[in-house]
Amino acid sequence: MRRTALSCLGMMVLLSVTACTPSSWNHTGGPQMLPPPNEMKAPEAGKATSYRQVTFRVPEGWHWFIRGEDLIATRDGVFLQHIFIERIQVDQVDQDVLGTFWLVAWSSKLWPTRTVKSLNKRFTPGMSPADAAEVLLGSRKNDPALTDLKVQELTTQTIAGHQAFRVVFDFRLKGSQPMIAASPLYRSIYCGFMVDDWFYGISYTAARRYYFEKDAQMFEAFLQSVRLVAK
Amino acid sequence: MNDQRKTSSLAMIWLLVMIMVSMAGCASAPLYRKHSDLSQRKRIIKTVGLMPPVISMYEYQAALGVKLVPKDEWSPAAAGEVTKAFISEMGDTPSPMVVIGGREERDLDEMVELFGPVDLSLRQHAYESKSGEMPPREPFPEKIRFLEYSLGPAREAMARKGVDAVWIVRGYNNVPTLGAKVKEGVEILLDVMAALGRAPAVTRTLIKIELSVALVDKDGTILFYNRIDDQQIGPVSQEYPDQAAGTKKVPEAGTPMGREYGEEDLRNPRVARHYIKTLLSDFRTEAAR
Repeated sequence: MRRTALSCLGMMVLLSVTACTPSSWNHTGGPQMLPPPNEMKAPEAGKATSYRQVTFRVPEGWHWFIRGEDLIATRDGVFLQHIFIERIQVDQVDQDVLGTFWLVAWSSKLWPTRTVKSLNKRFTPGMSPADAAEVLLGSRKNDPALTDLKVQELTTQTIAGHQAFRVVFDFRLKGSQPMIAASPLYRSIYCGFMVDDWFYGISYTAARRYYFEKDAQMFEAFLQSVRLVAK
Repeated sequence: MNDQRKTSSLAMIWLLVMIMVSMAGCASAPLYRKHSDLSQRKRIIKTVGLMPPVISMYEYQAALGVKLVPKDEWSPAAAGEVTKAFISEMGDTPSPMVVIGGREERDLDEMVELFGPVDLSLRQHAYESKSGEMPPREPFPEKIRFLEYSLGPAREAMARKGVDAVWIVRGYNNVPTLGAKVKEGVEILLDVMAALGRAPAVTRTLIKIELSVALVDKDGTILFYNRIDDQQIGPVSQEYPDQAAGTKKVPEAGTPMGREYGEEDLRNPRVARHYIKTLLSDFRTEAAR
């Protein structure tokens, strides 16, 4: 009953906004900056905010979109390959995905992983890369949308002058998803690090078959372009 | 409990997604796409394989909204009819058709899996957006101009099967119950009445059948892609004498094999053949050039 009512409500909203959906993806590569997240707290009196602005270079030929507060960029389609940047404050409990116009860049919102919603441990200020990796992997293991998660490699890497973990893992999206039926195998490279009370996660996810190798080198160049700028 | 709630909300999202995907704002233009090298590459394709069709079956039940119940047990019958229809349609071509089973070649199975997200990307990014279309398209300029998608090379696997290319078919079928048909009929009637009173129509008809096909060569390049749904194709005509026409009866849940299926059910051989014939007609036209 609840499902039926919800789907009915969804339909009504959907039909009402269809006609006025603004344009979505940006098609221009080059230097870009993520807008400050809504979760950013007002700094205490006399103290500067700990949040840093994130700048990066979108590869030519890629399409990008600010999904909620995160960057998502793809060349061929989100379910084939994408680069993702997310920023999570230590006490953050939700992650806006839909935004005001939730049909805009619709396929980006279908991608089902949700780091914050699936956390079973919290990120903490000063956390080591190894501990932060454990929190991230805990979230992925706990994510109801994923299955067959296998960690392939866990190392460290310096990103934007910060010591980060770098974990490579494979997974499938859980079954019964009408959009793609049986999920292909996906591979992610996820790099993450803490700066004060913020976690910064930068990842590349692609179908293991063909698409992962196609842009893996490009992701390394993208990582090199990431900078954190104190406000 | 928390996990249950998460799973439930995810299922809700996917249900909504399914509904969104299943709705069409208006009839669309022809949907086939061809690779720029199709005419050259098709000359070296002597033998073509057919991978097992992936058909997701749902029962569309009457409810306040739209209720789709997965019916995995119906899929083999639908896939079987689509396969038969495909063989029948391609039977009169010079290239022999090789039916390839699932789990025979891992590379080919992976191609079929990958076609799911490729199909999604094509439908979202390779077509211009139209007002009122649901879900709204997300056009990528270069994807509109060129068909340039790959499923990854599978030269050895195709060589072992003795084929130069394979057809991949996927889709879904929302089979309406009698109640759902009645409900839809009432909604259409209300829309007609609304139109007479010059009020805008508020209901949309759920897509019952949608199929996509791709011809993929040894390099994994998609040479031809086409997609069709029941709102483009119209009602199934009675041009296939091998199956009794007018099987209006809608099967109840769990209908055993062998009974007649309705006009919106891919387990009905006439319906499967009608869709496959239409899907391949554009390819025949392109191949003849």
